[in-house]
Amino acid sequence: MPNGDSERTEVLRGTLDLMVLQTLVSLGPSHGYAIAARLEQVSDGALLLNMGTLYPGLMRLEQRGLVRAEWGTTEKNRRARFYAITAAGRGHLAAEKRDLDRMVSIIDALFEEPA
Amino acid sequence: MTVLRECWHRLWGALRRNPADPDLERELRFHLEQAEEELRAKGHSPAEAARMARVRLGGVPQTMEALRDQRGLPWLDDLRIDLRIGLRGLARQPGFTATAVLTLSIGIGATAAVATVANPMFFQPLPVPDPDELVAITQLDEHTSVFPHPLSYPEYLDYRERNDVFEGLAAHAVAEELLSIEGRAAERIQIEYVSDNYFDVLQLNAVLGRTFLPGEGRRPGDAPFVVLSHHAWRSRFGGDPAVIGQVVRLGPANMTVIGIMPEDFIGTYGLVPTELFVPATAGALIEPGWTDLLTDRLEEMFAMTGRLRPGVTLGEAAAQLDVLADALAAEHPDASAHTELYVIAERYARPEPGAARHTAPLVSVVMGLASLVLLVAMANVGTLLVARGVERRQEMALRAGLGATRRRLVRQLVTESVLLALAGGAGGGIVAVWAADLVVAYFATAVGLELLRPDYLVDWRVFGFIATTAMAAGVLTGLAPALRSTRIELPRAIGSGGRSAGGTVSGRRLTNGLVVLQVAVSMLLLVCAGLFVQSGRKAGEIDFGFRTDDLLVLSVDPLGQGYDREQARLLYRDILEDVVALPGVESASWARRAPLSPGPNRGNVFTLDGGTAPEPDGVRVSLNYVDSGFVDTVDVPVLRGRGFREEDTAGDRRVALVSERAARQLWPGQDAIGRRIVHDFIGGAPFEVIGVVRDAHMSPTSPFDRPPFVLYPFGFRPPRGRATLHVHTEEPLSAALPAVADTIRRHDPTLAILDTGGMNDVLRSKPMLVIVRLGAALMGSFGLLGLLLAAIGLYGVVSHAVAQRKQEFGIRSALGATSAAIIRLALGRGVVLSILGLALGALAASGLARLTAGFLVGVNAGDPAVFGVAGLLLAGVALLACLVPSRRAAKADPLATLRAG
Repeated sequence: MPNGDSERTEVLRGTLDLMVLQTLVSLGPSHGYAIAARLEQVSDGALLLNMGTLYPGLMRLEQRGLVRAEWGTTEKNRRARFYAITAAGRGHLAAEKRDLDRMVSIIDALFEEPA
Repeated sequence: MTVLRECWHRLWGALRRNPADPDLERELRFHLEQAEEELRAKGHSPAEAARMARVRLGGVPQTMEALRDQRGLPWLDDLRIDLRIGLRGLARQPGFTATAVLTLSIGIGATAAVATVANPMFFQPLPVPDPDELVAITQLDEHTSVFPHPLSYPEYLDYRERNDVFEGLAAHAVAEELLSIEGRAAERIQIEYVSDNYFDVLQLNAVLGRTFLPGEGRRPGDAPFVVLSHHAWRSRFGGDPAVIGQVVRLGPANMTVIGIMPEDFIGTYGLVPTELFVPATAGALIEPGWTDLLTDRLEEMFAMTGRLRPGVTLGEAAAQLDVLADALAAEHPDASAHTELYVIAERYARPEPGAARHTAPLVSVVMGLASLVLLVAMANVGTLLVARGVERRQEMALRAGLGATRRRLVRQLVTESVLLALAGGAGGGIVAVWAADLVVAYFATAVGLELLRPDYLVDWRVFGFIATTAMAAGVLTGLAPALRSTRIELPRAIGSGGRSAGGTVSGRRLTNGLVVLQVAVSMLLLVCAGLFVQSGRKAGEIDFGFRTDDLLVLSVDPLGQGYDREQARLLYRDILEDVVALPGVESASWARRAPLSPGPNRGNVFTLDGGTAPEPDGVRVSLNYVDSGFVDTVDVPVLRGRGFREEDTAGDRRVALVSERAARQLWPGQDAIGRRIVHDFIGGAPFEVIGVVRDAHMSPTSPFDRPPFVLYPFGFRPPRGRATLHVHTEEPLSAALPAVADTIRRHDPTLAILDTGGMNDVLRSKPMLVIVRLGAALMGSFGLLGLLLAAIGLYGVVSHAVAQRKQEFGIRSALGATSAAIIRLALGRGVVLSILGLALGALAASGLARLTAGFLVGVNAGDPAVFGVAGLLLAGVALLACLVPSRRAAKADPLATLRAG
C-alpha cells in the first residue's frame, strides 16, 4: 500500500514505540485515543497521529510482549481497549531511553562544536 | 527475543484470518467517536466533526488494512492469493500446463535420476557413529598408474601398528564365496573379508549376537565366524533369532553365525550390498593357500578404512602414511613399490576406493549433461511462458491499471512457473525412481551384480534435491518471461485489445535467445551422446586378440569343495578327456582363469641372462596357467618356438610362453626362445621360454589394452582357487553348454559350475564394458531427450510466430504471394535461429566434449563424424519442426484469416 511514506514512518517507528511506552508509564493503562490525545497535548499539537500509524504500532508492541491490552470501561462507562505496559516493556523503555540519551548527547556535542 | 515473538504472533495471525476483526473495528470506531465528541464539544456540528475526525485520523478501512498487514505476514497472504490465481490460470489452459509440466518432468527427472544413483555413492553417510571421521586409504600403482589399487595384508598391519593419526585402521576385501545352509545347494554371495577390528573402527554393534571380540582373528585360521547383514538374515534365514550359533558352510569351511548387523548397514562398498562379514583370518579355512594372502606382501587385495583421530586432517594423515610407505619400501625392497598413498573421505571412496577416482568425475560429467537436458527443458518452457505472456498482456495491463505494482505482477507470474516446476518435480521424481529401477535391473541382468534396491536409493536427500532443483528451475524459468511480459505501456496495451501485441522487439529477442540456447545445448548433448554411443559401439567391437565366437567357458572349484590337489588333477584330466570327445568339440583346455577374468594375476618377471642372478628390473605382466590345448582353443597362435605339449603341462616342467610385447620388453631386439625367467609369484627354479604368442587382451585391469602376459603350465597353478574350462565347439553354444555341463556332473554331481556361458556373453558382462555401455545408453537417452525438447521448442516458437502473423500472411497471399514465398517467410526466423544455435552448440561442444575424453574408448573427443552426424540430425529435426507450422501458414485461406482478424 503506502510505499511512498515508508521512509517517514520508519523514522517515526522507533521513537513512536518509545513515546507510547513512556505515555503508558505516565498515565497508567490507557486506551488508544487517550494515548494519542496525550501525545498531541505534550507536543503542543505538533504530533498528530492518525489511526493508521498508532494502531499498527500498538499491535506491534503487543506482539512483542511490551504492552498488554484488555477490554475495559471508561469513566463514561464506554467499552474501550486499555493498553498497559508490561515488565518487558519497562525494561525495553529503559534501554531505549539510555540509547536515545547517548545519541542525543553525541548529536548535541556535534552541533555545539564551532564550525 | 521480542522480534521472534512478533514473528510468531504474525505467523499465528496469518493463519487464523478473521476472528478478531470486529474487535479491531470496534476499537477504531471508539477512537473516531472520541475525536468527534471532542470536536463537537468545541462547537463543530456533528456532520462537520465526523468529517474532520476522518480527515485527521484516517479512515477505518485503510487503518484496518494496515493493521491486517501488521498482524499477519503480508507476503504469506500474497502468496496464498498468487497460488490461487496461478492454479486457476494453469487449470484454464490444460494444454499449455501439461506440455510445460511434462517438459520440466523430463528435465528434472534426468537430473534426479542421476542424483538418485549418486546419492548412496557419495552422499548417504555410512550409518555408523561420526561417519565424517572415516577415511579410505588407497594407493597408486606405479606400473599401471591407471587404477589406484589395494594393499597387502602385511602392509596393512604395518600401517595399522605404526601410525598415530588413526583411532583405528581396518582392512577389508570383497569376495564371492559359496554359501550352503543346512546342506542346501550352495549359492554364490558377496562377502567382505575384514580385519578383526573392522567393527570397532566403524563403531558398530550387532543388533543380535555379537561382533568379533578382542584377540579374535589375529592368526591365520582364527575365528571361523560370520556376521550377517540384516538383509541376508531376513532373506536367507527367515529372520530367525535362533540363527545365532548356527553353523553354515562357506566353501569347504564350517562357520558359526555370531551376530546380525543393523538393518541400514550394508558394508563399505556403496551400491553393492555385502551379505556376510568374515574375519580375514578365517579365509585360510575357506580357501586353501589363503594364508599366503595374509603373509605375502605381493598379494594385494585389501582396502583400508581408517577413523581419524580428533583434529587430524586428511592431509596430515596422508603425510604420515607417505613417510611410512617410504620406510616400508626401504625395509621390503622385493615388495612392489607404490608411488603415492591417497587418503580420501570415506564417502568419496565408493563404490570402492580403487574406482572412486573414476566414478566421481564420471558422475559429475553425467550430472552435467543431465543438467543440460534440464536447461533445454527450461528454455523450452521459457519460450512457452513468453508466448503466454504476450497473450496475457491485457490481463497484466488490467491488473497494473487496478494498482498492482510490477513487482507484485512479476511475483505472481514467477509463482505460476514455480507451480509448474513443482509439478514437474513430482513428475521428475517418478521418472527418477523409474530410471533408477532400470539401472538396478540392468546391472542385475548384465553384470549379475545385485545393486541396492531403489527404495534404499531414494531418501530425503533425493527429495530435497528434487524440491530445490524444481524451485530453482521454476524461478529461473519464470523470471525473464515475467519481467518481459510485465513491461507494459498501459494505454497501448489496453487500447489494442491485446490483439496486435504480437511481437514487441524485446519479447522477440528473449524468445530468440531461448531458441538459440535450446538448439545450442541440444547440439552439445547430441555430440556428447554421439561420442558415448560411438565409444559403446567400439567397446563392443574390440578385437580382443583371442577367440570370442564358438567359445564356451565354465568354471569349477573342486579345491574349494574339499578335493585335494591330486584328486583335483585327476578330475580335471578326466573331464577334459570326455569333453574333447563330445560331438562338435574342436578343442578344449583348462586354464586358471579365462582371459579378462579377475584373480591373482599380476606379478613381475625377471630375466636371467646367462648368469644366475635375476636382472634388477622386472617387467610387470599378467599371467595365467594353461593346458597344452589353450593356445588353439582360445586362438592365441604361437608365432615363434612351440606351444605347450601334454608332457609340459601334466608334469612340472618349468617352461613358459610369453606374449610378443612381454618378449619385446624383456629382450628388446633379441630372440626370446631359450631365455630363462623367474616370476616373483612362483618360487623355485627359473622357467625356460619355449615360445612367443600373439598379443591379446588378457588383463582384467586394462580391458582396452594388450599389456604383456606370460603363460605357465597348468600344473603350476596356485594351490587354491577355481579352474576354467575353455571349449571351442562347432555346435551352437546353447546346445553345447548343457552337454559339457552334463559331462562335468557325471564326474561329480555336487560340483558347483560357475560363470558359464559363451565368451561373448562373459565379455559383455565385464564391469568396465558394462559401464561403457551404460554410459552410452545414458548419454544416448540424454541426447535424444535434448533433441526432442529442442524440436518441441522450435515447433512451438514457429507455430506461435505464424499464428501471430496470420493476418500479415493473409494480406500477402491476397496480394499474390505464392505459398512457397510465404513458407520461406515463415521459415526464415526459425532457420536463422537454428543455424545460429547449431554453430554455437558445435563451438561449445568442441570445447566441452574434451571433458568426456577420459571416459571414451576408441573415439576421439573431436571426432568429425560425430559432430557431422549430430549437426545433420539436429538440422533435419529443426527444419522439420519449422516446416510443419510454416506450411500451415501457407495453406491458410487468406479470406478467412483476414475476416477473422
